[in-house]
Amino acid sequence: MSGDTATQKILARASGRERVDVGDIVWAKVDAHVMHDNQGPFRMGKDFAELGLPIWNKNRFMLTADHHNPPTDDSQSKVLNVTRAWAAEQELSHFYDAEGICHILMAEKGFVRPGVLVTGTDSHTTNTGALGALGVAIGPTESIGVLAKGEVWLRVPETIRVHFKGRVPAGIYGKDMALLALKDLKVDGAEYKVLQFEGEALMALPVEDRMTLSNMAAEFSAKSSIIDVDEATAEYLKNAGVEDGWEAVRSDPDATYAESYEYDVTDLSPQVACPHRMDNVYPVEEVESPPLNRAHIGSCTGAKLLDLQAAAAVLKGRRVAHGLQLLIAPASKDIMSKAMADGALGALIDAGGVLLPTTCGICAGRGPGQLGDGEVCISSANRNYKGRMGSLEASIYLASAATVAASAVKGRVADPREFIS
Amino acid sequence: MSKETQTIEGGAWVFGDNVDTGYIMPSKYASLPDEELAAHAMEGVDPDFPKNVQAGDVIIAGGNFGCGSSRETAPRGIKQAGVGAVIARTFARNFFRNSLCIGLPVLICADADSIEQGDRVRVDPIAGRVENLTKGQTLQAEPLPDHIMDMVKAGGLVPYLKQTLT
Repeated sequence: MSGDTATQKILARASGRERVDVGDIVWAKVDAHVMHDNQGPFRMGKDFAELGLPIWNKNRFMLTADHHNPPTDDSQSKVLNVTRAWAAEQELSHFYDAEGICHILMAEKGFVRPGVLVTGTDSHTTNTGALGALGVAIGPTESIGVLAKGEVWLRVPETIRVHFKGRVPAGIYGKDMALLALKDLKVDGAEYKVLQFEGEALMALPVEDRMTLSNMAAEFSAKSSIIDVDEATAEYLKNAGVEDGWEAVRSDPDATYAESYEYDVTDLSPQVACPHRMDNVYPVEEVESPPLNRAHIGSCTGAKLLDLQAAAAVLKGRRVAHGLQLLIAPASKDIMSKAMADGALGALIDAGGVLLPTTCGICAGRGPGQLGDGEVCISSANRNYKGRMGSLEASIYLASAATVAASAVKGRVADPREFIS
Repeated sequence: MSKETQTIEGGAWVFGDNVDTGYIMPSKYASLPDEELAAHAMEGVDPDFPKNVQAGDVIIAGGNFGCGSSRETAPRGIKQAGVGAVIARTFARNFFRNSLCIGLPVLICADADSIEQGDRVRVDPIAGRVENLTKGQTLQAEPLPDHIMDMVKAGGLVPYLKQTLT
């Protein structure tokens, strides 16, 4: 008998079984659950009320208002008001209104701990993988079941191993590694499977940047993602107030994988996903873009403190190109405060950046800064299909925050390495 | 048995691989109430779909249908527009689960590609049978686990929970 993957172990533990096999269907206990305004009370509040059952554990449930916040039209105001009223009616102790994007708040506020199952009404719930937890997306109706019972049915998935080796060069980030793998595996490469990101190059990244990979597991259509837990993870958790009460879970050395991929990042160039698919990826030196209208540093994927710092390192003392607008939407208020304190945010604003709310914004196709017909944007976010950030006739490039910043200076897709001393 | 689980019959609308939920229901409509979603169903790939789709029509797709965001407005919108079922070679898991939860029949069918645009199709979601009335072919969908079929028979998660939890 071969060994088990971390995913098998987490699902065995969550379903109270000795062990589980790939293909088993289990009812698993959820350690934490998150719901947001876009997939929350506005869609499920009425049905949940009809069931008349209490929330299984309010200490382990977070509700955020991050997709439609602040509202830009009447329909969004209505969604927000329903969300706020429901939070009050349910007497939620963890409702965060325009405080940040749900996945980042879950990590920052200590809702994620290694070795457990987390659910959320958002595809990027996979973000928890960087903290060693299995995060699985569901929708608002299924959220009713989780809220009522604290459990969810899951098919035990196969795991794909993606190994990054070598030394991470200057100017290369988790985003470049995610896009490199996406180019190979494609947007359907991990359908129904878990992506296990590993290797010395991956583990050399700060935990926040490992999240860029676990977050973008959604772009491979993965069910979830998992990353090993090390001292850096423990330190991150400690800062989030999670000091004990968790146990790391690792794949056995003889675990079975559906597929294995290996990449050496030592000579990797910054990677760029060109319109209109996340797997349409080229090294930056091969990309000749038209003039850019917008450069966007935002979203749960690309607006963490290290992203703002990487962009500031490029933009400090420089100005964005004439005719280009730089949008900055930190992923949470805590990140914004820290970036204010260390000067990163000031450098971005001095370079011409426009500061936006600490919410999903244009990455959810809403809020100020949306793209018009024919406009071209480079973004540190996660998706670039047509219409993601506004008009169906706009074009989106995806890259690291550093590449977005370099491109903002040049007015076209550009290599950040020439700006980094 | 709810009306959703009865036999469905209508015309086939054929779409390709990797149709993102952002094309099935673009982000800008995310704050609309359910009844207003129908007017924008499939707008990202076929702007004329909402005005041409007939009640009972069936969407036929390739692989990974409904990838991307887990937005439930995608299956809600096409259901509101009158689509009776979705048949695909494979589904993205979020779309698949969301559809089952809201009572929109979704069937995984390896031979879905044999159905062409406009073919007349009859779907029995309980038996997992897809009849192509135009071509005179019958396709069998992949069987689903019992607990999912219980939810399908109940017409979705909410009626199922009402039966089992309250």
